Order: sequence, then C-alpha cells, then structure tokens
Amino acid sequence: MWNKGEAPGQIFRAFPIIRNKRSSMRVTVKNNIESGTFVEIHCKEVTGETERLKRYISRFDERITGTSNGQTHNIEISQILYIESVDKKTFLYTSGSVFQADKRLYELEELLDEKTFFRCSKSVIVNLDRIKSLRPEVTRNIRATMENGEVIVISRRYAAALKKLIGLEG
Amino acid sequence: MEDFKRLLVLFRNALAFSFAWLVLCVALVSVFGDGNLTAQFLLKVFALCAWGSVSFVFSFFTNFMKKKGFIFCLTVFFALFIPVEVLMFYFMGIFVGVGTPAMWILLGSLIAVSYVGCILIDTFVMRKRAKEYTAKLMEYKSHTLTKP
Repeated sequence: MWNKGEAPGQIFRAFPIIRNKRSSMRVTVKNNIESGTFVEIHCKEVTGETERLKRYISRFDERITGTSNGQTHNIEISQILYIESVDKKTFLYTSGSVFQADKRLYELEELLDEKTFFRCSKSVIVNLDRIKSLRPEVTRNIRATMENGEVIVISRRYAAALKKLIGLEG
Repeated sequence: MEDFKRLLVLFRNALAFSFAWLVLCVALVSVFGDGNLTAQFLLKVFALCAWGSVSFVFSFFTNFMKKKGFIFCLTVFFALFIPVEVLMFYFMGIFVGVGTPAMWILLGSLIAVSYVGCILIDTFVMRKRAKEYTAKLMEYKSHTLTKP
C-alpha cells in the first residue's frame, strides 16, 4: 500500500527492528518519507493471517460520516459501540454520543469488517471489540454488556452465529 | 412505529392463544361438571386473558424490558399478572366453596416452583455459561481483533 505520489523504493534504509514476542512477525518502523504513512507487508506466502493483517491495517483509523445536532462528524470506526436502525434511519452509538449515519444498515454491514462488527438482530450491528461481557439467557437470547454499560440483546436467531464465530459450539 | 405494530401483533397472538385454551378448558369443565357456562363468565375470562397478554408482551417483548434480563422480566410479569389473576379467579367464583384452600395452595405452589426453578437455572447454569461465553469472546478478541 502506497500513498499517492510515493515510490516504493524510498523506504529501504536501516532502522531499529521491533520484535513481536508472541509471533515470528517482525515489525519495523522507518521515518523516511515526506508525508503520510506507507505500510508494506513482506511474507513468504500470503496466508489467512497475512490477509487479516492487511485488512486490519487498511481499516486502521477508518471513519464513517455521521451527523449530530446538524453538524457532520467523522467517527472512528473503532469508537462505534453499535449501529441501530430505527424507522429506516441509521444511528451510530459511541460511548457518549449518538450520530445519524447517511448510509442504511445493510450498506454499513457490507462496509465494515465482519469479524469485528456482528449483526446481532434485524436492526442492530454490534462492535465485538467493545463488548465487555456476554450473558446467555434462558430464552436463548444473549445479553451483551458494552464498555459503557449499555446492554445489547443478541437475538436467538443470531446467537448461534455468534457462538460459532467466537469458537463456542455451533 | 414498527415496534408498536410488532407489539400489537404479539398481543393479538397471545390473546388468541390464551383465550382459545381457556375457553376449551372452561367448556370441558362445563360439559363434565355442572353444565353451567355464561357469557358473563366468558367475558371475565377474556378480560383476564387480555390483561395477561398485555403483561406478557410488556414484560418480555418491549425493548426496554428485554435489556433487563429474563429474571427481571419474569418478576415484572408475575407482579403485574398474579394479583389480577387472583382477583379475577375470586370474582369468577373459581376459588370459592369446598376445596378452596387446596386450590389456592396448588396455584401458589405452581407459581412459586416455576419462579424458584427459573432463579436456580439463572444462578447456577446461566452464570457459569456467561463466564464461559465472556472468556471465549475475550480469547476471540485477543486473537482476531486487537492482535491481527
């Protein structure tokens, strides 16, 4: 991935290497370009992990446009707790604010990373990364408590998919 | 608005289901019992079913209540429905006459056993599962999300 107008040859200089203790991945940081950030992944073969890493970096600092009190904001995707559709309007909920999105729920679902944003009912998509705890119910629904204490209900229709996703039984 | 329509549909279904069952039971009792069934009695049954359906839909299907958890919903449902149920049973003359204490005890026991059963399941089974689910989610987050 290159920023526009930057040649790939510019980055190769000797810089300190930071080793990731948990994997064999090497991470190097080089401050040798004029502007922006350029990330390049080197690997022997492209595996699922490589694809995941690429997707993660591509979506780093990605934003969605939302309006609140007539003002337009660029909301960091990682800040979104959940997205809800109410009466054909889509709302983005962060820790302290609610924004109305200009896209429909299904459009946002397609746009967002399916491993992070999970469709938990007909009208809600939840950010799995911002869930603090899960609690299954006798009714087979799952209650998800978000980092800000709000509770989201994962309906039993979608509960099986969540269990499969996080590695519980299907 | 969509939510309100959904609640109305649920109310209609709950009312139809409960009233149909109770009319069937009342008809059977009437056929094999004293053979006495009045329109006034059926109206009281209908009123009881209507209140039961309202309580049920409010307690278990409104967005506000759904977020509170099953035991909370059940408690609210019992608190809304049981006093009215007891009163209606009294006015309908079901719990009047010989054998009444035994019937009251039977009703009370049924409610208490189902309530305590739900609390026990929630405390011992669901709490344990909640820990398991949360642990799995954290594991998923650490492997898939924050550390790609």
